[in-house]
Amino acid sequence: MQSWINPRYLDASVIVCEQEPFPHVSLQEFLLPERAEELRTALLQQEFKKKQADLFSFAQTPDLLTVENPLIRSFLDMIDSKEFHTWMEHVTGVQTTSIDAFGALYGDCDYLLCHDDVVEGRNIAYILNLGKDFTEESGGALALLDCDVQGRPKNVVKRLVPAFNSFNFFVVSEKSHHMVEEILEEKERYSIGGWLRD
Amino acid sequence: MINEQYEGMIANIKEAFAQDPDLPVVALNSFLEENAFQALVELCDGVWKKECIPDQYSYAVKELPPFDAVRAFVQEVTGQEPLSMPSRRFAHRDFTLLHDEVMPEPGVLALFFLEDWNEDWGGSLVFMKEGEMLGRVTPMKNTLLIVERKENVQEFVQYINHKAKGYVTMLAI
Repeated sequence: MQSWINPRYLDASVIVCEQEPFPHVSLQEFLLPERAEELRTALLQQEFKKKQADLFSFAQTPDLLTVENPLIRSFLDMIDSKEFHTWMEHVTGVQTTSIDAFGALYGDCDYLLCHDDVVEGRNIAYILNLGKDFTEESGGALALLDCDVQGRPKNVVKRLVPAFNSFNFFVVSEKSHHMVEEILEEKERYSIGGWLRD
Repeated sequence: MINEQYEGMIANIKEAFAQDPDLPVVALNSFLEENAFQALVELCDGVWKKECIPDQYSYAVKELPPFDAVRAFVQEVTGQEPLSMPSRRFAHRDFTLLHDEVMPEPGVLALFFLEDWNEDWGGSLVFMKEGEMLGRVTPMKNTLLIVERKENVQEFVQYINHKAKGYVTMLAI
């Protein structure tokens, strides 16, 4: 982890897991600056394929665990290391033992509508943002929603702007309703994301 | 009030409707005579009430009087009473999603579109069967769409993006 992560995050006990509307963490400047730039370059070399359905419109790489690029390989080995799973358990209280990972690209007008990510085995959802120059006006925020008394999603109560090299993760549950808001400008929201599994 | 040319074409419309057995569909442009269409547009002025469940749908609805003459026309073409559903107006950020668990009941849908629309804005009606797209329809002004939703077919209205100008209205006949 030392060769990848900003030293101020190495000690899990200094990281606060926000509880509302559901447990989540957002860390700015997560990777060492040079590492983040290298990883972005490696990701941009991957092949992205457009995916469209009722719920989403964006482009995705093949399963990154099958990619041979040594830098992507090394990053995924880091987040799948015993040390990182232990760090994650300290922060969230949730145990994980394996990962999956995809690269995603949201361009102008792309989106992912509200869903909860609940699928057997997915314990933590994570996303490392590698797009540049995103502001609140650009769209593309990871939006978190609260629930009504019946447990249905209601309102967006928090927006995480996809700042370059920010790392967001949350505990997957019936309450973890979230979405990627539509991109409103000619910007490219690149990311590596997936799930930490039990 | 219905464009006269259609009244004499029922046999042809029936034939067009029967073309695709998986998704019987016909879209009739310039369906109402101009003055009837303008009267309908005025009737639809006023407040539409927003309804949103973020993981199911987002649109606005309005109670409107029944469109008996158009309903009778749809019945003549399809031999069926169209399903009842709300009249909906879709603007930026509106959408509907497919249902995961319960399939909607099969039957005839009859929708009337009030505005011309651009498919690059979202807002197309997309018909799906078991994960495969059967067809898509982009709204057009003064157009009646008649579709038969067969077993295991359902549709969604594609999310409307920020390029869209105004809104698109889908009246339920």
